[in-house]
Amino acid sequence: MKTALTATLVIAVLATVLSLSVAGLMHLLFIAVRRVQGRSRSGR
Amino acid sequence: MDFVDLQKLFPGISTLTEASTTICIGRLALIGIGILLIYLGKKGVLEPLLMIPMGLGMIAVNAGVLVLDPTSAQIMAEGRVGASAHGTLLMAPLVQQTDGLMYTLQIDFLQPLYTFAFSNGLIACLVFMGIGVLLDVGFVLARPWLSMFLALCAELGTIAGFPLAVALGLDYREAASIAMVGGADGPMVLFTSLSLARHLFVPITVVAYLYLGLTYGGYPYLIRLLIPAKLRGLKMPPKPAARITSDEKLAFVVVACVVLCLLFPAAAPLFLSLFVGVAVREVGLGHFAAFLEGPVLYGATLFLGLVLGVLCEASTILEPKILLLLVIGILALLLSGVGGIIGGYIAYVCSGRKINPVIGIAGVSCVPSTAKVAQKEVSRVTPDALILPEALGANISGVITSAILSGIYVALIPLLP
Repeated sequence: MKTALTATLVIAVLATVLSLSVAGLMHLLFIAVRRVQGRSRSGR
Repeated sequence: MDFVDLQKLFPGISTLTEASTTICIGRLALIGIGILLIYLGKKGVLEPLLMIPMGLGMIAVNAGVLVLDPTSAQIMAEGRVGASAHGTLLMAPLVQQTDGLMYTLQIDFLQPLYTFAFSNGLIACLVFMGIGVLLDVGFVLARPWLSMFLALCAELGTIAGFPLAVALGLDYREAASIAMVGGADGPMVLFTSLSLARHLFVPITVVAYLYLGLTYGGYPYLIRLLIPAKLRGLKMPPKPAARITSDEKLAFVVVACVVLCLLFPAAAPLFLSLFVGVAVREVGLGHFAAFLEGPVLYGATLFLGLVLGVLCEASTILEPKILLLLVIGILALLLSGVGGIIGGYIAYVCSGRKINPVIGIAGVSCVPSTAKVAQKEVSRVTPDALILPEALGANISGVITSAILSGIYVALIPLLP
C-alpha cells in the first residue's frame, strides 16, 4: 500500500507538471506564431 | 415430438435450462440490462449512439446461445475455466491459439472486427480521428491555462482510483487499468487495459463504456447537487476571444504531437489519431474531414457499441472481479466529476467570481458529452447564458490530460516492484 501511495504521489506530480507544461507550450506557441505572423505582415 | 427434439429445435432455451444457475440468472439479467440500455438510450438518459447497438448486442449474445459440437466448443472456449459446449456464433473474445482464431474467424461474424480492429485498439484510434476533426483546438489555445487546469482537476478519479483499487485488492496493473475509467475516455481505458491488464481487458472495457453512458445521465444530478442554482446560472462576461488562425492551430498540433509522442511513445497511436483529425480540419482537407467525421466516426462508434454488447456474454462478464471493477469504476468517475467541479469553484474564486463553476465538469474528457451536459445545466437556469466555448476548451484538454495519464500509467506501472 505504501508503494501504491508513493506511486500515486509521483503520478499526480508528473501529471500536473506535464499538463501545465502543455498549457505553457500552447501559450508560448501562440505568442511565437503571433510574432512570426506580425513580422511577415510588416515585411521584415 | 419428445422433449429431446424440442431441445434441439430451441437450443437458446435448452442451453438456458442446462447451464448452471449462476450462468442462467446471469444470461437473463444481461438480456434485461440490454433491454434497459436500449430504453434509456431512446429516452436520451444514456448516450444513444453507443447504447442502442450495445444493448442489442448484449441481448443477442445472451439469448443466442447454442450447443456447439465438442471440437469447435473446445476451440472457441479455450482458456475459459469450466468451459461447456455452449457458445454463440457471434464472437469468441478469449480465443488465443492460432488454430482456434482461424476457426472462429471463419465462423463468427464479429470475430474479424474484434481481432483486427478492437483488440489492437484500431477502432479506438478511428474514433479519435473522427473526434479530432470535430475538435476546435482554438478553444484550448484561447485559454490554455484555465482549460488545462480544469482538465487536470477532473482527473482526480483517475489518480485517486489507483490507490483505492490497490487497497481493495487489485494488483498495480489491474488497479491502473480500472482507475483510467475516471478519465471517462473509452479509447484510453481500452488502450491502458490492453497494455497493462490484458486478462481483465473485456470486463474493464465493458465497465468503462457502460459508465461513459452514465456521465450523460448522472453528471447533471452531480452538478445540481454540488452547485447551487444561483451559481449554475452565472453569465460569464463576454471576453473578446483572441482569434486563433488555422496556422496557429496547425503549429500547435505539430508541436504537441512531437512533444507528447516523445514523452509517451506508448500512447503515440492515440496522439497520432487525434492530431491527424485536427490537422485534417485545420489544413482544410474537406473530403478527408467529411470522411473522418462521418463514415469513420459513426461507423467505428456503431461497431464499437456492437462489439461491446457482444462482449457482455454471461460466462465472460461473470468474472469474480467484476463487482469490484464496477465499484471502483463508478467511484473513479464520481471523484473525477467532483474534482472537475472543485476546479470550477477554484476558477470561479480566482477569476473574481466571473467564471461559471459548471464548466469544471467539462474537464472530464468524455468529448463532447460533458461539455454539452455543462451547457444544458446552465441553460436550464439561465437560458441565454453561454459557456460552451470554455467548456469545450476544458473538454479537449481533458482528452490531452487523459492521454498524459494513460502514458504515465503505461510507462510507470511496469516499473513498480
